[in-house]
Amino acid sequence: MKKALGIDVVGMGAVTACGVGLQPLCAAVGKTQTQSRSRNIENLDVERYVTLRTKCLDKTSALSLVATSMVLDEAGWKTRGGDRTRIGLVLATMSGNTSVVRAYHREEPSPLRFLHTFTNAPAGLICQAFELRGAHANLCSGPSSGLQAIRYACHLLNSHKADQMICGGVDRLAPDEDPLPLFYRNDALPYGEGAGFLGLQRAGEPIQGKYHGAIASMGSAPVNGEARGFEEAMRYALEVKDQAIGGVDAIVLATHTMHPDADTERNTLLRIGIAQEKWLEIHEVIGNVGAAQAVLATMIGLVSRGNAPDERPRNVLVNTMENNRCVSILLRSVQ
Amino acid sequence: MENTVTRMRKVVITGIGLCSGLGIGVDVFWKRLVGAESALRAMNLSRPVGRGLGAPLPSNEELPAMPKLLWSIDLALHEALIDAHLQPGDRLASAAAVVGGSNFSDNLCWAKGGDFFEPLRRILEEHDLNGPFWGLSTACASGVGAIGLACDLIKFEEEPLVLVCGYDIIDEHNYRGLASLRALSPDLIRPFDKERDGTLLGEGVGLLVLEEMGHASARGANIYAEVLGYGISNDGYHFTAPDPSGIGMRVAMQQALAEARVCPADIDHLNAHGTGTLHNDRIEAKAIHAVFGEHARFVPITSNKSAIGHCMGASGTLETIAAILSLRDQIVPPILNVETPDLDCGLDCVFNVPRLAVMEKVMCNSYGLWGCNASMVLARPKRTGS
Repeated sequence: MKKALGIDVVGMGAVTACGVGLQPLCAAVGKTQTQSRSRNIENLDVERYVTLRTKCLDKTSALSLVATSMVLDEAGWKTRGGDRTRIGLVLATMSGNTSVVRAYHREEPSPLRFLHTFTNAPAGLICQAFELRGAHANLCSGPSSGLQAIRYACHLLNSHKADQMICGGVDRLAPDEDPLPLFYRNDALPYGEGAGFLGLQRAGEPIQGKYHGAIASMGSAPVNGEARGFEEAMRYALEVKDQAIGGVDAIVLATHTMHPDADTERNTLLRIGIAQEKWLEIHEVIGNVGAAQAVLATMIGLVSRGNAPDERPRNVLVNTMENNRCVSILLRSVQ
Repeated sequence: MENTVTRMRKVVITGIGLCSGLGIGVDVFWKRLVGAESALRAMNLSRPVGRGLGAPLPSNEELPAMPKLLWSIDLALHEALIDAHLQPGDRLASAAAVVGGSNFSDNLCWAKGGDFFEPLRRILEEHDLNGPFWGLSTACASGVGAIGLACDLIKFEEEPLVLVCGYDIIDEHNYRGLASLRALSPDLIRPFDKERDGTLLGEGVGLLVLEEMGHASARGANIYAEVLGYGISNDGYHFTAPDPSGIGMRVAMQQALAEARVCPADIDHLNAHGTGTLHNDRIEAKAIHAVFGEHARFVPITSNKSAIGHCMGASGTLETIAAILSLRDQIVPPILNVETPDLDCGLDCVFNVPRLAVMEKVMCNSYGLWGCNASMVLARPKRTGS
């Protein structure tokens, strides 16, 4: 499958263990810092970014609120009032607010805590805090949720259900005082926590804030343990924009490292000529951050220079796996 | 792009399957729903509210050792696939995308680090259904939202066939939680009754097979209905109470009508969210008036919750199946337990007895906590030939 998406990215918000904002993350990716650094986000002051109408009980919501605030600021959509029915939200999360769920089952339930056990509580809090009344969804599909949130937000814009969409991934898999069993799974990388959010609008419409580039197209193909699917997905995404594999300036590797085909993907890249110096790996810097991974990868892709000359848009691919299907999106980065 | 895509690819429903308090399987569900029967009965609860009524699934003697959530998904899946002339394991079904919709799923398993949609994914894996998986959780609006998402996968991502499964069961967590919100009625659900005093929980699974129209026609599948459009929104107002102006509900209905390219007067029947709570029914009525204008007084409206309870993440898919069957049989199942219609709502509610009606297009509404809203417009398939 190949499809043009034609969406502009006009705002980005990131909260990771590297810091608040995209700058610290980019700096860390550039240096490829070691795995020994902390993956926990500490001392996040939510009230500095947003005035809450409902108490925020969990860190997932806090991360989401801060990242959303940054997107709204950068996109120039922060002002309250006006027609907020055309601004929507698609949020993706794997673990959501499970710390609240665990506390709820341990203690005498309260109505407020019960409401915060809902998977969509972080999304609901965002809509309340920023009066977002447009198209709305909360995805919980595992590690692929982040890229799904971006794609679904693009579809909602292209079907004119919204004029401006915020989409993002958030997860909190790092252990703290209440470790998640996930942490003990046999994976080479430690788990982290973070949020990555984007502000999107249809290409060609007036931009109020900052232009970061475009989500140009997508391709997908079944893999079934074979390398061919990866190659097809990437070629399809490129073909929509008349590009060949040789036109790829950078690729952000967002496929979950636990996925059994992750090695096949990397071998495929080498075989088809996307050299290792074009790869951007973010797992080693922030750990596995679940649904936030693909969105943060997309952000890194949009700001990365790759090896292209400055005078033309750079072609950057972001890949994820959806069960046994590879999905590849093509970004046109202009920075 | 939008015009090209939406005009080229139409989405139809070619298979349905379900488990509900009214019984296992579509036929018994529909017969009892139209027959004005209720699944509400006393449940075995440790700390009941009032008489502890709800609409639980019937016990399954054949699968006593299997958790209720798993066997109910399994049975609904089988029924829907067979209805769509598919088999678990055949190539088309195996590659199909799946969209799950649930409010609570298996909450405890999730909190312990499992996948939120683990029960559904486990059944899919058992049957080698390993296409792309999407999971949507927008509280009790999840079911209709999941159908909408599936439509976009067919229209924008060229999926030929998508399975949509909305599910939830009653457990200690959601029962105690909703009771603590004082949302539960002590005795009955009376949607749009002046004396309404809350909702009651139900449980179940509603599963639909959505397909690109050309694909369905080419393989000779039976078409129940076409999905003309859908809408999703958030109130951005409060975690439990809907926005008093009804703006979020209105936005969802208007999005659905706009995508369907129909005007409100074209809608012949509305399957309302109708929870039987004071605020929901009043504000839903207000939003319907805002969208439909004068026509609001002439659209036959039902709510299935008085018969099957509020099935949470399954309510949207179960009620969509009811709307599809209304289109097929040209009959609107009634709202039960109503003695004093709330005239302030100003709607043409079908109370207590079913009504025959000529229907070409219907709308379904589903709403959920944290301000979630979803609406959908369905059309009767066009008959060709004699």
